[in-house]
Amino acid sequence: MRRLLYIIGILGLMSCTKEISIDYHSHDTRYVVEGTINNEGTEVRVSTTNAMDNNATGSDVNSATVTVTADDGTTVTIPFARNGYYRSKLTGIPGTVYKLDVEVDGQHFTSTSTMQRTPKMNEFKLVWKKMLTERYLFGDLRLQDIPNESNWYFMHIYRNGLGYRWAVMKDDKNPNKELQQLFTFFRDGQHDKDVLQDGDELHIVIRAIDQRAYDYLYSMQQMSSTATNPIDNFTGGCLGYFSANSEIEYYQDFYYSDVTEDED
Amino acid sequence: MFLPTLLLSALVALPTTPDTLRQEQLDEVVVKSNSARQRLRQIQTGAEQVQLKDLTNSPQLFGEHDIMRSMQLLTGVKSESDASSSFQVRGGTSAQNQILIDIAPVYNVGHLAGLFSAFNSDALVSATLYKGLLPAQYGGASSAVLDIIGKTGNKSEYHGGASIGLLSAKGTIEGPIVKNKAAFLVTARRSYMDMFLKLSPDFRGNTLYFYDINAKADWTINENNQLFLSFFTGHDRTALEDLVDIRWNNLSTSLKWLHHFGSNAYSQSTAYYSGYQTDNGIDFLGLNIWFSGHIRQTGFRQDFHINLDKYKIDAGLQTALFNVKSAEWTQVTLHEKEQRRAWDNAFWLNVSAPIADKLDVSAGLRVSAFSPLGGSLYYDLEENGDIAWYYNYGKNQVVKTHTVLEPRLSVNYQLSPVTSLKFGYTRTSQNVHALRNQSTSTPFDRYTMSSNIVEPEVADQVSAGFFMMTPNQDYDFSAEAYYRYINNVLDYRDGKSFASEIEIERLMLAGKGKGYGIELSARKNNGRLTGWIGYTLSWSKTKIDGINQGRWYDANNDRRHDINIVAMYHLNKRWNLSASWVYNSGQAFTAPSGKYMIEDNWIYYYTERNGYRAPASHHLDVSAVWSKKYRNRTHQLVFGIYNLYNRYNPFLINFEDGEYGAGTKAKQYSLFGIVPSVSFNVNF
Repeated sequence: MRRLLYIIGILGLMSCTKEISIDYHSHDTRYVVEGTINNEGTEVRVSTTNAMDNNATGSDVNSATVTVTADDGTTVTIPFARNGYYRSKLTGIPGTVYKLDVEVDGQHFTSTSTMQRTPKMNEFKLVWKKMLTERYLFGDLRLQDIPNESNWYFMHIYRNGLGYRWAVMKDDKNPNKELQQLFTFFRDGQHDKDVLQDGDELHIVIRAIDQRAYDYLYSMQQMSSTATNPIDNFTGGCLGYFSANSEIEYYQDFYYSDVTEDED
Repeated sequence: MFLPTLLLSALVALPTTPDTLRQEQLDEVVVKSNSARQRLRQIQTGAEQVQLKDLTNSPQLFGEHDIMRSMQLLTGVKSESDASSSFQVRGGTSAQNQILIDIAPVYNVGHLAGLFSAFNSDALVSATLYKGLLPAQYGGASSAVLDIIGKTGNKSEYHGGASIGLLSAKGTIEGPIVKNKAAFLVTARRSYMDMFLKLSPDFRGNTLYFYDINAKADWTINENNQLFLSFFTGHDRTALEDLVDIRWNNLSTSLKWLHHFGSNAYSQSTAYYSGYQTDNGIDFLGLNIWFSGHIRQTGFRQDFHINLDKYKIDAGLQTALFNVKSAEWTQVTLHEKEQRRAWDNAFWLNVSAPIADKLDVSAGLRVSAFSPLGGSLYYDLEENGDIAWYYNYGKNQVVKTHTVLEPRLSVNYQLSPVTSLKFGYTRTSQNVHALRNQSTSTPFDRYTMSSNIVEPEVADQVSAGFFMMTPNQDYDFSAEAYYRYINNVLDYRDGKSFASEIEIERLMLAGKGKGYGIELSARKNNGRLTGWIGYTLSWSKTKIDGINQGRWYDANNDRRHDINIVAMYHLNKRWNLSASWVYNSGQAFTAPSGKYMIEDNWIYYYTERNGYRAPASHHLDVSAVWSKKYRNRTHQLVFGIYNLYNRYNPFLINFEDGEYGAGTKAKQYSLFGIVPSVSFNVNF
C-alpha cells in the first residue's frame, strides 16, 4: 500500500486526502506477549488487544505465569513487576535456545528463540535529502555484519525514551560487510510532534535477533502493504513475539547543526 | 408498419457469433456494427463488441478516445479504479483476463499508472469482449478475453491524421505500399509532460513519459492469400533523479497468413511474440536496489474455419513457449532471480449450428496442456512456506503436464423475432498467474506459472439471459445472470508481500473462488439520442485454507452495485455531445478491528480479510466534439470534463495513528477531482 502511495505521490497525481469514518467491527480480545532475553536480563510484557477507538496504552495482564527454559533444561520463573511487565535478571548466553512459556486464564502460549552474538555499529548520521521540491530528514545507520553466519538485525530508535522509528534487516544484502538501514524522519517544514527538536535524545538500540523473530518483525514492518497480522511467533494463539538477542546501545543528542546535506 | 419492419429486420439479421476471423477478410477490413438484432441473435452469451469508430462519441479522460475505458462502461464490466485502464469481469480480476491484439497477448494495458490505456485507438478497428463464456478457440484466461483487431492501411491512397491533447500527441499515416495490393498503417503516440518538467529547475533532472507505436502491414498476394504483419510496443518511464526509476514495456507482434479454400473455408496461420517487462530501481542515499520481472511468450496458432451449410466449424491448435521471470533483484552484493520456462499447447473444435427452427447452438471443446520445463529450480514446500526439497530438472525436461478439458456450450432459443433466451456453460483455465497485494495492477505485481506446486486456475461459469428488442431495434433490453466457480485461485499468505522471498510460491496459498450476479441493460440505439443504462449486482468471494481462518471472504475486487449510464446526443452536423455517469458501491478492503502495542508502537489487529467497505465511488463525465469537414481533411475539437461535480473518490485507504496512538484515523486518498481537457484532431 505504501509503495502504491509513493508512486502515485511522486507522479503528483494524488489530488485529495481526507479523513473518513469507519465503523470498526468488534473483536474477541486476544493476548499479546512481547518477550526479550538479552545480555542484561529478561523482560516479558503481557497485554491484550484494544478496540480501535480505545486509546489506552494497552491493556495490561498482571496475572500471567511466565517461565523461561534454557536448552540445558534450566527453568526460571519470571516474576511480575508491574503494569503487565514481568522481569528477571536472567541473562542470555549466545548460542543458547530459550523457550518462553506464558500461561494466562487457562491458555498456554509458547515460543522459542536462539540467543545471537553481539552486533557492531559503524556509524549513525543524519542527512537532509531533497526529493523534488521538499527536503526530508533521514537517519542513516551503518552496521558491521557479524562474520561467517546468517544474521538478522532489529534496530530501534528511541526519542526521549519513547519508541520513534524501527526496522529489521537481513544480512544477505552484503554479508560479512557493512550493512545500511535508512529511517525516514520527517519533512522539512512539517509541524507536529513527530518533528525532532534541538536537544532531543536519540537512543539507538541494535539487536541481533534470530530468524523467527525476524520473520515476525519483518512481516510486522510490511503490514501497511499486506494488511494482515504478522506471521505467528507463538503457538497457542497469542500475538507478539519472543526474541533472545544480544544488543548494543548508542546515544546521540539531536541538533539541526549536526545534520549534513546530501550532495548527490 | 410492424410486419414489414419485422420482415426487413429478419432479412438483414446476422446470426453469427462475434468472431475475430470474420473481421479480417481478403481485400479489406469489414466492420459490422453490433446492432440490437445481432445482440439478440448471436449465440454466444456475455459477448460485447465495440467498434472503434463509435468511440468518438463517448466521454473520455484527458480527451483521449480509449478502448479500455469504453469497455469499462459496458454492463458487467468494472474498472479497477478511477485511473486504471484495466477492467474486471464477473468476479475475476484484471490479471485473469487475456487481452489480445492481433492474436498476440498484452499483459499490461496501462500507461502512466493506468491513466491512459496502452492502446492508441487510431490503430484499432474493433474489439470483442467475452465475459467468461468463450468459444473454444479462446483460452488462457480464467475470466474474460478481449480480442482487439488492429486497423489495416488504405490500399489505394495515402491518409493521415494528428492529434494534440493536454498531455500527449499522436499521429497516424497509412497508404499503399503497392497500390491495391499492399498497404501499411503506422500510428505513434507520446506524452510530453517531461517537456514541461524541463522548464522547472526543481524537476529538470526527472523523467516522466510514455510512448506507443502500432504498425500494421498487409499484402494481398492473390484472391486466396493475404499476409498481415502487426506490431505494437509501448513504454513507460518515471524517473526521479537520485531517487527512483520505474519502467515497463510491452511488445507484441504477429505475422498472419490468411488463406481461403474457396468461399466456404479459410485458414489463418499466425506466428506471434509477446513480451512484458518491468524494471524498477531505487538509488537513494547509498541504498541501491533494482528489481525486474517479465513475461515472454513465443507461439504459433493455426485456425481453420469452415462453413458447411448451416454448420460453422472452428478448429485449431496453438503452441507457445513461455518464459516468466517472477522477479530478479539486486541490492549491494545480493543478487537473486527466479525465472522459469514452460511449454503450452492447446487444440480446439467448436461447432455452431441451428439445431432446430429457433434454436442455435455453439458447442466446443478445448484441450489445454501446460508443461513447466526444467532448467531452473523447482521445489516442494513445508506447510509454513519454507522450502522442503529442491528439484533440479534438466533443461527443457518436462516437470509436469497439466491437462485441462474445457467444454464450451452456448444456446440461443428465439422465443419470437424480438425476444430470445440464452444459456451458456464454459470451463476455462489459466496458467500464468499474477500475485497482488492490492486490487489494482501495479509494476510491483509478480507473475508465475503453473508448476509442480501451482495448479492451473480452472473456472466453470454458467450464464443465462433474456434478450428483447423493439421491432424497429430502437430499444433493446437484456438481463443476464451468471455463476462462476474457480479452483486454484491464488492469494498472498498472511504476512507476506512481494519482496518477502524470491521464490514466489513461498508467498502464496491456493484455494477457490466464486462469483455470481445479475447484469441488466437497456439501450436506445437510434435517433439523435442514443446510449444505455447498465446495472450489475454481483458478489465475488474467495476461500483459501490458511487465510481468514479458512472461511469464505470477499475478494478485494468485490463490489455489490455498479451502474453505468451513457448518453450520446447528435446535436447537428458539427456537434456531438455525450455524458456518462458511473456509480460503484463500496469496494471490499481490509481494515483493522483492533490494535495493540509492541515496542511502543501501535500495531493493528486484523480479524478478517476484506471485511470492510470503502465509500461509494461515482463521477459524471461530459464531452463535446466539434467536427468540420473540408474538401480533403477533417478537423475536430474535443472538449471534455471528467468528474464534472468534482467528487473525490477513494483510490486508497490508509490508517494512521495520532500522537502515540491516540486516535486512529482512516485516510482516503483520491486521484482526481474535476479534470477538464481539450484536444485537437486533424485527419486527411
